[in-house]
Amino acid sequence: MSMPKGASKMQGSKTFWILLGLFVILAILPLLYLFFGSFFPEGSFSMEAWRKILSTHTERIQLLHSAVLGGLATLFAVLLGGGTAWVTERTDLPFARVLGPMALLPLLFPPIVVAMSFADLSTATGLPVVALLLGVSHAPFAAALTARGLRSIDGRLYESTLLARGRLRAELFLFRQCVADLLAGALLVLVFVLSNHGVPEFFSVKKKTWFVYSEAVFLRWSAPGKPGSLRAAEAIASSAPLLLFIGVALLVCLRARRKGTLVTMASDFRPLPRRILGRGKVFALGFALILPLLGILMPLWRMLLWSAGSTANFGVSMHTAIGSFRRVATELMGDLGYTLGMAALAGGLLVFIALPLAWEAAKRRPWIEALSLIPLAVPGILLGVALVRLWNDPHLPLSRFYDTPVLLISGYATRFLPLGVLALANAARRLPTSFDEAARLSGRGPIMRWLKIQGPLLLPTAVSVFILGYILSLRELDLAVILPPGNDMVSRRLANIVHFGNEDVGGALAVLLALGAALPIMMRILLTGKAGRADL
Amino acid sequence: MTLRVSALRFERDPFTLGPLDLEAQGGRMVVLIGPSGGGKTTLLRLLAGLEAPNAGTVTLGDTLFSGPSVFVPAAERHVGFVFQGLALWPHMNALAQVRFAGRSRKKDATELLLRAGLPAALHKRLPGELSGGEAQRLAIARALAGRPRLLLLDEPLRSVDPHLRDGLQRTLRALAHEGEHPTICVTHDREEALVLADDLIVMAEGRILERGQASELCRKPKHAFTARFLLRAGILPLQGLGTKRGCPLGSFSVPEWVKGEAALALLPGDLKLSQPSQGSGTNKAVLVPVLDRHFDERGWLLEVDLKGQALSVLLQPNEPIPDPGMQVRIQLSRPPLVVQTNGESA
Repeated sequence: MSMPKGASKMQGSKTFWILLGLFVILAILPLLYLFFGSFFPEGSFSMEAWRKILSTHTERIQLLHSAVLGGLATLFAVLLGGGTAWVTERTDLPFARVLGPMALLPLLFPPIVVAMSFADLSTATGLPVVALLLGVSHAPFAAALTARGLRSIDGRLYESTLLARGRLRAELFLFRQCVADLLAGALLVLVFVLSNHGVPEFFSVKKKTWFVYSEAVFLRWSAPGKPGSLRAAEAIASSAPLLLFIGVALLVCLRARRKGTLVTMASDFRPLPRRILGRGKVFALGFALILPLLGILMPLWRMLLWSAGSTANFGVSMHTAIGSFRRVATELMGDLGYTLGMAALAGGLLVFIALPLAWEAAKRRPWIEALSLIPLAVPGILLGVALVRLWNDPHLPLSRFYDTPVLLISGYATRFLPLGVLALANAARRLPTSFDEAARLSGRGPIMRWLKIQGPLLLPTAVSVFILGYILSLRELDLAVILPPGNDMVSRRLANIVHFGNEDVGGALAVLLALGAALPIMMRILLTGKAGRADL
Repeated sequence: MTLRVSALRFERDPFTLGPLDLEAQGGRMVVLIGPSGGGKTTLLRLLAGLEAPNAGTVTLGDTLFSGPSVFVPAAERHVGFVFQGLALWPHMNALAQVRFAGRSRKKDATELLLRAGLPAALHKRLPGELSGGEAQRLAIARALAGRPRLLLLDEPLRSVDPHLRDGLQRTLRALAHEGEHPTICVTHDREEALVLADDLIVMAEGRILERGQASELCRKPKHAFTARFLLRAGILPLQGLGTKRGCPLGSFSVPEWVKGEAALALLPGDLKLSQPSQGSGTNKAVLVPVLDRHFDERGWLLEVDLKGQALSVLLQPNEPIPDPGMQVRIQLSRPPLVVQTNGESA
């Protein structure tokens, strides 16, 4: 009779601590290992690698490049993503129910494919082009979070401000209410853009115009003629400013997000009234189409043309297209299957680890959210380096998995864990405590309550997180380049194929990759009739 | 089956509940009434085991729910609870909710839903597809599903349209009386409390101010708060500490049970307009300003100000209706109630 409540708590705690331990092994340990290793590059203590930080002019220029590129790309993403979310959520725009989810579709193509298809259309290059393309590729984050913010505002608050203070004040109030979500979306874009080295490198290779920090980290890591430990030490040391910058940005984002409005499932809630666009409807419709056009239709069109032989001398033909797809089917289907499989497993592992961590973060231990941000704060390249250093240490039991897909799956799941934890913690916070209390009063144990109450209520978000992890894993190039089991990933294959001039096969492969990425979304629509929302 | 609560105390800064004692008999409905924030819901949560008290004991029949070093968790108390927001699981249909809560067979769950007044056509609907009253009936059925030993209702009719209340109140009374479990219902609605209660407890600021049968408390409230809350009486403090105390309307005998300060609880019918020649001795007439006037089912009511206290005066059908701002003379038309203004009444 006395305190049996503790028993179920203990059981829950055990699961939590096991998963937290797994998270630490997957994400924190490699980084700590790398960090301390940077002081012992050749077996003895040395500050050489750290002394180089910001010591050279090139280093400072690269950091400046990264900051400018990140800022500009984020601006583009916020304008396009936030703007699209505003017109689809706040106005009577025709087809808003379709155009809203379509703003998320640019996630289906890796940024490098968007860049390649743009380069195919135009010779324009330089900072604005790189920033625009990265902005388009990552705008879905800004769109999703702004839409979430707007959906969380009670329409009555807006209407009371409208009646008391007029239209301008009401719009300002609305902006203040959703600025936290907008900021969170912007910072997420910034984080991914700063980590991206593929697109700037692609344009740098075409014309030596732009050289960013994450690319420098990658070059340091892959610098020939240096022992691995020294390369790793330089890589970690040189990425320290970037790490600091992203880390601070993420914490600001988390803080801003916590201050945002939270609508629980039991809340008495009225959505925002929609504004009548009138003649502006055509303009707004055109604006809402920019993201899907640039982020999905343009790459799809160019990649289909590539597969039909547009880059070859003998012109475009259906015969060539069929041949390209047939070549992919015979030569690269294994890689495509492997890639989709790895991404699916990574998405599954992501949900498996994120769900209990998010639950604890929402209900008892909010610090877990901040802790879980670490893998996102670290540039993808550096996380890859850290994983290689730790998993390749022959003295550690992890080394037996070094060449296996386990390393790749863990890497992807770790990389995108913060998104899973944030989304699921947010969903868990929306569940009123009384739901669980009602189930407890009916005498049901914790497992049954999870299976019947919390689980089904969190399932839509868990599926969204799985899809997000799956799609982002397909897009991720940095880890695929660094980790040995990533050699067969399509994102890497694609870069190589195009590099060696096989654009026809590359085009077909990119189209199939996008279809593969869309697969879980299509399945979800078929099964539930809804596309779902990633409520980050 | 009797619920006994003794010296129960719960502290969560800055709120303190208790210490309080309470007894609820099986087959009877005890209604806790009081203003919002008075600790009523907290008390229900303590009884349900959703919160742990800092001190005191809760016993149901022979089972000690909580006491020194003993705490039976909510899952093991067999308590039915209708939450304020209902807390219906949004993904489960009505039948599934009752079956999950009561581990019951389909047949039993269907019967229970019908008993709670939810027609069979609605049993497969999700909570979002039910009206306020239907959802309320579902919440009641779910609370009863596990054959509770104690039924707790937290503002059970809060979100129900007035025209649906009568039916639901009948259902609640019937369900409370047909079982052996005690039922405790929380409300801040006076009419609802009077209709539902077998026993009424008035709570404010974490303390029980007064308890008794509903009819008794309405006829003879002992505490000023009860008179104001249940009867909408105006309160006019009495000066002094002896058995005879005075106010501008005269001097009055104070009953023995009054501990400390006392006041007159003045119902609208207790005061009347008087002529200049009337009023003397123990029933004085006083000149007061009219603050407002309005009409209700009893007739025209004047709101007047007497020494900073707003009091209501019921006008006779043929009396002229003074305008706000005018001065009128008032006096008592019948002996008023004398009530205690501080502490818990006996």
